[in-house]
Amino acid sequence: MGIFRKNILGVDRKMREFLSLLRTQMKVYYGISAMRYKYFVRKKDLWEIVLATFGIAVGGGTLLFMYIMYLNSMYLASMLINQPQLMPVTVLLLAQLLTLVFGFFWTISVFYFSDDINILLPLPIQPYKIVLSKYIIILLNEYVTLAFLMLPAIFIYGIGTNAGILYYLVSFIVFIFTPIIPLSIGAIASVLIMRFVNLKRKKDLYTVIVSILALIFFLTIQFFINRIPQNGEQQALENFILQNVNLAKMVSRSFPPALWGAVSMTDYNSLSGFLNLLIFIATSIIFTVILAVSAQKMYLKAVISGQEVEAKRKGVSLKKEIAKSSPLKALLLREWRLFIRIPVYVMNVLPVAIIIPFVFLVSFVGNSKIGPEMVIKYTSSPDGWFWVSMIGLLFSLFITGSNSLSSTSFSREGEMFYISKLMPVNPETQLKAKWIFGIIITLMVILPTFLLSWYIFKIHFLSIVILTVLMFLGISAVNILSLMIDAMRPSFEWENPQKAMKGNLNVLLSLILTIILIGCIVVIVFLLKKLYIFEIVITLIIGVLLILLNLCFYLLAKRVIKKLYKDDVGGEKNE
Amino acid sequence: MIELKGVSKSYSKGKIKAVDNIDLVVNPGEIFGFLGPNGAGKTTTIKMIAGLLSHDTGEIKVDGIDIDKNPIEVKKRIGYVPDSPDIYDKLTGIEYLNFIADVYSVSEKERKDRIEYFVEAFELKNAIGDLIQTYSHGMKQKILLTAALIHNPSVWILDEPMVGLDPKSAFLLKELMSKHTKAGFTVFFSTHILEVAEKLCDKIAIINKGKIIAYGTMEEIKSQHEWESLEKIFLELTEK
Repeated sequence: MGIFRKNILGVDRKMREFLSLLRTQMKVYYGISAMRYKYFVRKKDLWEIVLATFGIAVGGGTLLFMYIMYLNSMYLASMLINQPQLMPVTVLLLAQLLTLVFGFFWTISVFYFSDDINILLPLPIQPYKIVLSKYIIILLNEYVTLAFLMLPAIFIYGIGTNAGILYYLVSFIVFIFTPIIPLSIGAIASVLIMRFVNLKRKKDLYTVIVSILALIFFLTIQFFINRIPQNGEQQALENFILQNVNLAKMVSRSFPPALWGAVSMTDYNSLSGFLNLLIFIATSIIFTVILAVSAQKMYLKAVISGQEVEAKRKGVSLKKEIAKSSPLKALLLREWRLFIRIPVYVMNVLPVAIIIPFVFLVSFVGNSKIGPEMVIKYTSSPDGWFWVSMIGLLFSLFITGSNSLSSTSFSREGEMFYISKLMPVNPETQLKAKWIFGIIITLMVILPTFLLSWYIFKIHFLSIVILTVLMFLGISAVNILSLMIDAMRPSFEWENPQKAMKGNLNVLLSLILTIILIGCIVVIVFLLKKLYIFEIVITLIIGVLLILLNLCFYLLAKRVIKKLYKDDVGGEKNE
Repeated sequence: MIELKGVSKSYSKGKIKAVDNIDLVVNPGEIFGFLGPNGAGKTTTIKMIAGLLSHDTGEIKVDGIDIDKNPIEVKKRIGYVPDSPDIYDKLTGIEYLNFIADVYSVSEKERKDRIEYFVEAFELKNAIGDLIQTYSHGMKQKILLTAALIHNPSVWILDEPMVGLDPKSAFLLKELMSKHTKAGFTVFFSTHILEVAEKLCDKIAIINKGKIIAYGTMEEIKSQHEWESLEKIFLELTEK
C-alpha cells in the first residue's frame, strides 16, 4: 500500500490530510488532549477514572450477565427446532437495526450540528473527507456498543457448536462489517434529508424528537421485557422464543444483510458461507462509496444553509416586560428558564416522571401473577403506614439521587458562572435558589408516580401524610448533598450542554452517596425493628436524622460554595 | 475610586507570574486607560478588581472598601463588561436585563428609565425580545454594556469595550464615559486602540509581563519620553 501511494503523485498527501483530519476529530470528540492534560500533565482527579471504570463495570456487568443468560436460552431453543442460525441472525438483525435507527439520528447530529463545523468549513478539505472522518468516529463508537451485543452471541454459538479458529476469524470479519451497511444507509438518508430540510434552525426541536423516540424505544423494550417469562423457567422461555421465531425470520428477510452475515458465520466452512461473506463485504463497501459520493455532492450546501440563524426581531413592549422581583425569585426564574429552554437538560430529567409510572403500570397491572389485591389490602389499611412510608421514602431518595439536576447545577452554568460570581448576591442566597429549584423539579418528577400509586394501591390517608413529610425531608437532603458535590468539583469547561449533564461524574458520585444513604436508613430501620422499638419511634428517629442531615449538608455546602465563589474560575489564561 | 496596593497574582502554583506587585490609584472623576500587549496581565488585573479572580498578595479597594473584607458591597459599586461577550444564550435580551436589575435591586422606575434609554440609544428595540443566541457579537456587547450600567455603578470596569461596537455605539460609549466621570465617578478600561486612550483618558498605565512600566497623565508620560506619540512610547516600552 505504501509503495502504491508513493508511486501515485498526490495520493500520499491526500491520505495524510485525511488521517490528520481524522486524528484531530478523534482528539476533539473524545476530548483526548483535554483528558491527557487533566489526568497526566496536571495529574488531577485520577480517581475519577477509577470511579467511572467501577461504575461501568458494576452496571454493565449486571446487564451483560442477564443478556448472556438470555442468549444461551435462545441458542438452546433454536437448537431444539434445528435452526442453529436463529440466534446469530436475531442478534445481527438487532445490531443492524439499532445501528440503522440510532445511526440516522447520530449522523445528523455529528455531521451537521457539531461545533467544529465552523472551523472545518473554511478549510480546503473535500466535503467527503469531512463526512467520512466523522463517519469513522461514529463507527468506532458503534463497535463498542456492538461488542457487548455481538461478542457474547459469537462465543455462545462458537462454544456450543465446538467451532474452530476459522469460525472466530470469519465472525470477527462479520463483526467489523456489521455496522457499516446500516450506518451508511442511515448516513445517506441523513445527508439526503438535510439537503432539503433545514433542521439546524430547529435544532432544539430535533433534540426533543430524538429524545421522545428514545423514550418510546425504552418503553417498548420495557414492555417486552415484562412479557418475557422470569424466574428461570427454561421451558416457558423457550416457548416464548419459539413463538417469536417467525417474527425474526420475517424481519431478517426484509433486511438481508443480517442474513448474509449470519450465514457466513454459521456456514463458515462451506462455499455458500464464503459467498455470503463476500456479498456482505462488497455491499458494505458499495454503500460507503455511495455515502462518500452523496456527501461530496450535497454536504456543503446543506451545512452552509444550516449556518443561517433565524431571528424573529419582533419588538416587545418594554413597559409590559419590565418588572421587579426579589433577587431570590430572579435567581429561581433564571434556573427555570436556563433549564427548560435547553432540551438536553429537560429530556434528561423530566421523562422519569413518565417512565416510572409506566413501568409501574406494566409491572403491576399487566402482570396477573403479582395480584395487586394483597398489596392493596395492606396499603389501604391504616396499619400499613410504616412500611408504605419507608418504601416511599427510599424510592423518592433514589429518584432524587439519580436525577442529574442538582448534581450538575453549578456545572451547567459553564463559562457563564462569572455572572453568578459578579453579582452582589450572597453565595448562600444563590445556593438556596438552586436548592429550592432542585426540590421543586424533583417533586414534579415524583408527583405522577406518587398520585398513581395513591390511586392504584389506595394508600391510606395517614400513610400519605407521614410519607409526604418524610419524602420532603429526604428530597431536600439529597438535593443539597448533590449541590455540595457539584460545588466541590464543578466542571465549567464544556462547549456542548450535553457534556455538562451527561458527561458529568458528579451525577454518578451523588447517586453512589445516595445509595449509601439509602443503605444506612435500611440498616437503621431493621436494627431498630429487631430491638422491638415502636414503629412511630423509628419513624421519628428517621425524621430527626433527615432533618440533621439537611442541616449538616447545608452547613457543609455553605463552606464549600464560599470557596467556590472565592476560587479562580476559567482556567489559567494569562492576559 | 480604585486602589491597588502591592497586588500580585500567579498561575500554575507560582510558576507563571501574571501580575507582579502592582500599585495603582484611580481617583473619582478620572477615566483610566489600561494598556499592554496580549498576555501582559490586563484582564487578570481587571478580573481581580471585579472580584472574579483572587489575588495572592496586596490589597484592592473600591470606593475605600476592601474587596476581601466586603466583596458584596464592592460588587454593588461596580459595573463590569468582560472582554468576550459571554452571556446566557437562552434568555431574551429583556429577560437578562430584568434579571441583572433584580440581583442589583434596582427599582422598577429606575430600571425602566435606563433600559428604555439604552435600548433606544443602542438601537436594540426590535431585538430586545429575541433570544440572545440570535444576536451578533456587537449586539451582545451592547446588552452587556446596558446590564453593567443598569444599577448606575460608581465604578465602571470595562475590558476592551469597543471591540465589536459599531462607530455610532462606540461614540456613544465614549460620551457616556465622559459624562460618568463628570458626575464624580470612576471609569477603568483596557484597550488596544491607543488613539482612544490618548484622546479620552485622564490617566493611563502600561502593563508588560505583569509589571507597570508607565503610569501617569498623558502629559507626564510624554514628557518623560521626549514628547513622542503614545504609539511610539508603547512600542518602545513593551519591546524592551
